[in-house]
Amino acid sequence: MDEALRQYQLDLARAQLSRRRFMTLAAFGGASAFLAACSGSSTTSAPSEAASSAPSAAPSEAASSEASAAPTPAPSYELEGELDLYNWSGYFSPDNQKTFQDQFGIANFIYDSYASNEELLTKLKASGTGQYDIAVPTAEFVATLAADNFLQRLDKSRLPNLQYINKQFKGMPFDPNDEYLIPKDWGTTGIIYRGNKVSETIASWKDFFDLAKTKYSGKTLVVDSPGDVFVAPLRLHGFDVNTADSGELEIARQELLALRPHLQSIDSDNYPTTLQKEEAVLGLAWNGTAYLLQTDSSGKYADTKYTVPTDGTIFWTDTWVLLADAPHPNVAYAFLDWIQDPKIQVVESLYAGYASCNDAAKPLLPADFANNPAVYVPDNELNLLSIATDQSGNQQRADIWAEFKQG
Amino acid sequence: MTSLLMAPATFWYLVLLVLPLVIVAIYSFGVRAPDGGYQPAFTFDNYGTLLKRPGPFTSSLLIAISGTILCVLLAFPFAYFIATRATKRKGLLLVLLVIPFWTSFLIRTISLVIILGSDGIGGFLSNLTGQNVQILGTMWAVLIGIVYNYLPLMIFPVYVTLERLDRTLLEASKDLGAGRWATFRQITLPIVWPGLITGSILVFIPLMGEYVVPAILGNGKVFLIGNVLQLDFLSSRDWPAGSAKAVSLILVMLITVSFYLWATNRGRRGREVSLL
Repeated sequence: MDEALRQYQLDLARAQLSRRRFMTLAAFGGASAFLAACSGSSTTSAPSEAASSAPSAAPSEAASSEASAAPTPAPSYELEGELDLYNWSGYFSPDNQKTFQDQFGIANFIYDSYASNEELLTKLKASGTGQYDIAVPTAEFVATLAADNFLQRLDKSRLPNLQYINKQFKGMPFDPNDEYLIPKDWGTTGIIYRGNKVSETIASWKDFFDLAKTKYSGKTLVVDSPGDVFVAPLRLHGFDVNTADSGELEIARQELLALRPHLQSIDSDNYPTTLQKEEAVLGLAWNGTAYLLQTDSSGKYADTKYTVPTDGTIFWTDTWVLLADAPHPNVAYAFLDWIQDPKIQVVESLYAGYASCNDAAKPLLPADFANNPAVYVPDNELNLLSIATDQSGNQQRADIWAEFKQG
Repeated sequence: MTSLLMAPATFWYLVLLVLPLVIVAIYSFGVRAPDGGYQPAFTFDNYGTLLKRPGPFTSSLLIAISGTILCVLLAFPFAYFIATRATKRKGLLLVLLVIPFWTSFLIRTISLVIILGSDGIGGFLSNLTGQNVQILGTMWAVLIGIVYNYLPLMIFPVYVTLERLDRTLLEASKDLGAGRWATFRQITLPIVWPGLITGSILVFIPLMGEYVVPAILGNGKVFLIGNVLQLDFLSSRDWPAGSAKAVSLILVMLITVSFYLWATNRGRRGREVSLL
């Protein structure tokens, strides 16, 4: 019993480490007015057009050749000796932290953590800026944070290593001119399943709906996050993931309500454990969980598979931002540039288990990591991805979700 | 001097109870700001849409009432035993009753996930019946979690009233020819009554707003008012809609509890019923 409880707590910690509550929070990312202004056209655009903003993993020639260039030069500003980082838990490698402190002589490295974008926003609203230097919001949140004056515009001349950032992460609708954010990691929403129990090949949302309602009825889960769950029925019918069309949403509603009786759980917190125990064997979830299960030290969950559905899905991006009134701006700039050093990024990716937005880091990663669909989306599937914009203000979606939750 | 001593409590009451309630009431007439939150307005729409989907309210009421009744049925014999039969072991039993409170509410509820899940009773029943028995994710799991967590809140008030039960009254009743049932109905029950009312209110009120137990044991499929509020405030960030539901919840509770007190005290005028 003690052992089981301990295991459960460990699993819970890991579930948090996978930090995938954020899409829930990304979904209410706010700034819908701002977004509506910026992405009004993408809402009505054809899916293919939305997909064109998907990241391209093919690293540019220039970036990869520069990866082996001279180490990052020391910054020409006096360092303050301290850095205060506000980040998701387990989202920055302790090895890298030590390297950074040694290399730059930073005696105090404070790493406080939060569990959701909402918590970050609330913290800044409640206690103001001036406490932390750097934070890591999901891209959807950057617009809100910038509108509330919680962010500093970045001085790009102090961040030469931004050259390694994949171009497709530049000019996202949440920060069209890349004034505030530096892309950190990215991932997708897709289909996760236990290969030992699910013999079928699952390629699409259609397969997911068909199997969930028949063979794996009562053994299927979805994450507790409307922004992600709506993707499945909408893409199943070929609609834009950000649609506000009431007819299309009504079709999505019917699909969701038909799926509801067959679900084992609607849960974002414990679902890795649920999959481990095979209480559910099929799920709509995030890629990071699949990677965590595959690489579990016990090896018992290595059969876990992850699919980017062929009918299309969404991707998310986490970003580094420099907070307004940062008490240690010089160290912060040094950090933000240093962290994009490809060798540092490799350590970072292997620690967190997510795909880096840094082009130059990918070729340096082990092949089984860089080619794992649970980490990096294969190049030929990138056209399946679109950017999700904030839909939390849509009353029809909110109503459908409440009805879906109630069952 | 008295006013000085009363100052902290008054401050507490005004700033941390009355003021937030007023804010919630004001918010409930507003509209959702474009990027979420509250924007001043005066509309009854938030209340109007409530009636559209009363499901979570009825589920909460059902769970709270059945949970309270189950707690009464379980607590009474237990409290009666401790108060009248346990003699020397009384202290030990009371301590055992308190010990679970030393652990976090959250941990106790999470451990129920293991006990009721596929490694526990759920798995056992599945093997026994040869079918896939799921306890987690149902109303039953939530009911079990609720009764487990709230039972002591019922046992203690009932125990305190039973403790004061004068045994000679029972003997007198017997001497006068009353049977066991008549004695229970005419002596024990009236004495325990205040304890049962106190316990019921202590259990019923937090049950109506319960969020943690359904969130953990319900697998996200049991949807009570607490979960609706969470969704409104955090997911769709529609604070006015959430505020309207919170105000309605307060009104529903006020009406339910007032009716309960009125009904249970009817015809008992003259008898002092203390709440605690």
